[in-house]
Amino acid sequence: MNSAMPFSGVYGHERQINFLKNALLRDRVAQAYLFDGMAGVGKKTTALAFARALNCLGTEEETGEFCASCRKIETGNHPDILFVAPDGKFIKIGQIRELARQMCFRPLEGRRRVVIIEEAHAMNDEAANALLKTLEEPAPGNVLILLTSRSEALPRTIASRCQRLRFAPLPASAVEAFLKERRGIGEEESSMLAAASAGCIGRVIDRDPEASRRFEEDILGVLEISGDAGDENPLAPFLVVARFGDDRAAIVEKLELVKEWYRDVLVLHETGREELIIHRDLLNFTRRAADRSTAGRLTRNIECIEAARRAVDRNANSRLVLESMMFKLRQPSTDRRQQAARGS
Amino acid sequence: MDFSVDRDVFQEAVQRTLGIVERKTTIPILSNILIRADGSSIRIVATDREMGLVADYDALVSEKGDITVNARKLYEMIREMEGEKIHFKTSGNNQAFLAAEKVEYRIPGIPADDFPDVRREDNVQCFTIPARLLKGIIRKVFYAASTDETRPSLNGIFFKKDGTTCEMVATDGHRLSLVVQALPEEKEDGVPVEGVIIPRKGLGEVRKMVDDGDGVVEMGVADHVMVVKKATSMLRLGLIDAVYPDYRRVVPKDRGASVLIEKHRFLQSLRRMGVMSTELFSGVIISLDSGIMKLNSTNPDVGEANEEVPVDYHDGSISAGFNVRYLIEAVDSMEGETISFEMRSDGGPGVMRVQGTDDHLCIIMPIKIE
Repeated sequence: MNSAMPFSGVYGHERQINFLKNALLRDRVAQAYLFDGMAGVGKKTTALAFARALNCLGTEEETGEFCASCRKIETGNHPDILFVAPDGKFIKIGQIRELARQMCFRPLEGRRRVVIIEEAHAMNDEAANALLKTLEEPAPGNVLILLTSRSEALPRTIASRCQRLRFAPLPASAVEAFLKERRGIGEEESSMLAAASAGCIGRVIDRDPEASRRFEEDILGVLEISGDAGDENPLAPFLVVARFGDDRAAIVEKLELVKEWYRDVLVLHETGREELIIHRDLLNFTRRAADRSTAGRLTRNIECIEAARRAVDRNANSRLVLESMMFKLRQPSTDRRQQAARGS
Repeated sequence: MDFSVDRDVFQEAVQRTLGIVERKTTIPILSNILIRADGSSIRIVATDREMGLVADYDALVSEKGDITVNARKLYEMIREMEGEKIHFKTSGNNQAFLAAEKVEYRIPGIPADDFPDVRREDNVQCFTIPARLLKGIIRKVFYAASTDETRPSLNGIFFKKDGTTCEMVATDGHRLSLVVQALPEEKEDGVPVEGVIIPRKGLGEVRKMVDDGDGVVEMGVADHVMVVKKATSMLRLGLIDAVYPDYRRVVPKDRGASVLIEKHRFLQSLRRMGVMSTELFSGVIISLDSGIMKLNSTNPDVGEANEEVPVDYHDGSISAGFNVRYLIEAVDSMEGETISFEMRSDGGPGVMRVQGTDDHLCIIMPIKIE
């Protein structure tokens, strides 16, 4: 079987794909994998490609089109490819039990049943414990793939029973290639979108890049000049909070974005290496902020955003949480205040 | 595809699939059934992954072909249609049309190529069993299987066949029902089946298949799949991939205090005790004394029930508590006039069988009351 074919639709992630291909070639496929990486980076695409490779009938070379198994996976009709995704906020125990029940049977037509658990960190405790049992006594013929963008929120007992693959943000060139080849988007626009993608194809497809850029510029405009109080509108933080919107999922997504930006600032501040930056389109803001900030303050800010994210997740009043977060982010760091005190 | 078929035949054919197609499914095609017309018949295939039904029906086929459509909606359409015949045809863009008299329905389909591969499994070696016998065996064990999904192996019914006998067992860990059935038409060198676990839902479909008790059924196992055939229908059951508990160890070797009692009388007495049952408590204490069986159920929330039944018993007095529902279901499953009920005072199980026979055993673990 030529295992290269099913992976041809995945852009980037060569190391991860080679790893999976090797496992296939040597017949050493693990019972459970953990795909860990930012949302939209290509975890699910790779998981599906792996599912296809595990079950491919290998007729593609002769006929020039997908084999029956690959086609069913592509159209979402393959009986042995199962998906689990949060039902509301959580993945619940009933979903995991149903999974365990189905896993007691041999695959219907495929070689391996592939179970893809999306946002695995959304499992509540009961669900995670139930899954643990499945991971401890796996029935043969099943491959579990857990996807997560927040592996730190996943119980360690689960993570330690999976083979972990980290998915780094894609180089802009890979995103650009995808947009040009798969979406037929022009050179210039592709390059612009790729720069704004943070290395995640999922972030630029089916979205309005213009709206997201406006959000970034607005909010970072307020954050970047923070600390230099005096010349700006003191109400700016309130105004900008409204730009987060009301939808909790969208708020969390935007908080992630702000957090990533602070990560960029910290990286630039510490290393000065621009090639390590995720959000290349925001480089101007990032440079200015990196010049003015201190590492202690940046890490404190990242923690502060993480705390706000948790609070929003736990159904706190998102408006209050965001306002309080904005003020904390803009507060001059203590060491600066001390410096100022010493100076006077 | 283009065929016409008897309305009643079509309705029953589609109705049979409703128990199999998934209600809630993330895979759209599993809510569909496959209809394939060829020669002088149509084939209808339904599956929920774990089991599949393949059945052929007579039809007047004028153009062969296949399509999959939503089973539930198709059934509702046929049910509401009038006339003797239904004319079914498809158009190029995966649309199906049903017409009878002046009514026409259109239902969008999914190409048959995307449907799971449910084969006829004609190569599996089978043995035969009269439908009437199989129906009886299933009735005797089905109720005892567990519905608790945390123990997958107990969710199924154990089956094995050796020479001219077959064995079927179901248990939920609190009670167990075991049938050893002689197969009169089998020869000593007939196809053996090593122990397999048939899922409860799948055996439920087999039960529907043999419900009329007519004719014979062919059964066989190959590669973790059980095949059950009757007339032009075939059920393909995925088997539970687990280890079944060693049930032989549960069957007591010694004989406890044994009493003979008429089935209907026992059943009525137990039902009278059952009145005391609530969700929290459903115990009954059975005591044997010289010439008498006493039943008592005391539920602080409901009240108390007492009954004395004269029995032919002359050993020492003995008493034990049981779940009354388990006793009722066990007695109900017995096929005979007189039941032998055997109990122990040391926490050992109660054992029920039809007087003088050993081919159907019900074993019920006692419960501590007070």
